[in-house]
Amino acid sequence: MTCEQNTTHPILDVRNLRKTYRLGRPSLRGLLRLSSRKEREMVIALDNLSFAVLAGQAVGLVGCNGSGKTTLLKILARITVPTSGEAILRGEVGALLDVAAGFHDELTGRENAELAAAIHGRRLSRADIEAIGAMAQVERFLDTPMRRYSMGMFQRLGIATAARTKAQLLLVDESFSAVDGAFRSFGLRALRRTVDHGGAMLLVSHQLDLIEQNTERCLWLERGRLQLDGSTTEVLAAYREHLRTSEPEDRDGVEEP
Amino acid sequence: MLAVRQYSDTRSPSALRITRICPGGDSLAFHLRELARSFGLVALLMRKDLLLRYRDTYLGLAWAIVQPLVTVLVFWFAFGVMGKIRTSEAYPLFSMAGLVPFGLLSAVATRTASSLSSNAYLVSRVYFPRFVLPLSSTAAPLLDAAIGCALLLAMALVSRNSLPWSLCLAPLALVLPLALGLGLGLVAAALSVTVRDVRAALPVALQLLLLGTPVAYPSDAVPEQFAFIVTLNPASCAVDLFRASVLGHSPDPSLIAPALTATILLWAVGLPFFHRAARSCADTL
Repeated sequence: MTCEQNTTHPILDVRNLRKTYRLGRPSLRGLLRLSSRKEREMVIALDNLSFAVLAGQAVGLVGCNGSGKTTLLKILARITVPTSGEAILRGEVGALLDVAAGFHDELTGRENAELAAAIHGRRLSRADIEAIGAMAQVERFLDTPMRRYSMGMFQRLGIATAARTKAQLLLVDESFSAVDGAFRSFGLRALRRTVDHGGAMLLVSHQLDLIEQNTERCLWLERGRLQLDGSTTEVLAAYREHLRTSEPEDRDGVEEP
Repeated sequence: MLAVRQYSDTRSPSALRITRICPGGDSLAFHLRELARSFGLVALLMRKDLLLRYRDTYLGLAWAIVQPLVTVLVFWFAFGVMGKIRTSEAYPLFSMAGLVPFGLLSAVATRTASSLSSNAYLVSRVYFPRFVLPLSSTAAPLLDAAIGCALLLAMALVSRNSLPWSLCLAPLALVLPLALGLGLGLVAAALSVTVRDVRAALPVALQLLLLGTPVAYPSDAVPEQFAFIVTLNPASCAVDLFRASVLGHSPDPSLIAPALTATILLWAVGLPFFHRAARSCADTL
């Protein structure tokens, strides 16, 4: 453990985490174990990853496409299982794992917020939901099915709900891609309150300025391995340098400010 | 679900829940504890299911009354009028008393089978005990069964003057079709993650099951060489128990053993199989 000299407990302790995927389609023969599982090509998404996050830390996570950022967050959110290794979490996890934030199209914003809270074992009062709606600036649309929401409204409601559920560890993966600049800083400040109250946040984004403004520490993943772990300024400088010197096809999806 | 073990942390003053994520399976006790924490979620998903079902329809809940009545009408015309099947009761009452438990079994199996894929928006984005999904998908079939029971009561009052005391046991008799349907659905849900054919095969299988179960016809109308189908069919007992309680007959005890065996087998295979599939389905959905 990297934090033994520290008095705070780690909120998250990742030890030798490894995840491999098999390429291709699962087959009936594979299911019945008639064919050897080695027949399908393997991809290593996470390769013996270890790190710890302490209470009060907001940690950025950068890396090119396919570096394992999303896989890591999915394992921590308990959506997918690691192949080996372990991760120890302290407290509840709040996950904003993609643009749609786990909302159901046919349900209204109010019902979706209730559902999201119930998954975390919480019940929202009417006032809670009104507050979430006001924060997400969708108060007029709370009783409208979310299929009629814009992408920005989806994400704002996701962020507002996550800020309200008071999880100890927030996992945020590109959840700000469709919101405007004003809400972006407002929403991030709301999420940061979790961190200030002894929680922690892992923030994944290709918008490097977002990471720069909201985290003090940053991890750079490359091909499932930890390339660099340090202060955000230091890591982002190295990562930007890497992006400048590497081939253009490695750079897709990277948005420089 | 995921290999997660929780224990209360005595060193930490804040006593936060500690979760350990690692590969490997979990104990049944762990799953039960996780499920016990999720009753609020089950209730909410059930309500959501019922709300969504008839939202934006003009007739709304009336569909839940029209649908079984039309099936009874079809049965009555095909079997009662054309087939001249003799039943102990008025044919509509007789077939409705079979349709309620069979409809419950069939709908629960269908909805459980698709519960992982139809809730992909949740399964691929957030953690919760996955068994919540099959459980909450029973809401709509149960409501249909309740409406069916009310219809039956009305039909029984019209066609006969007194009601048998055993009518009180009818809700209890619905436990068997519910358990059978869930078991069948769990196996199908687990299979359908890798073998997509199951999605097409299940409705076919359920239609064959309807044919082989005394729903539209009484079991004594079955020719002797086919009688074994009815006797060995676990759904027969589910229908028989319910119908006997509604009509005040005595149930056929020889049907109970195959039904119990099938239920236990389906759950014993389906439950671990479903959890394994649910664990990997976020990677394949």
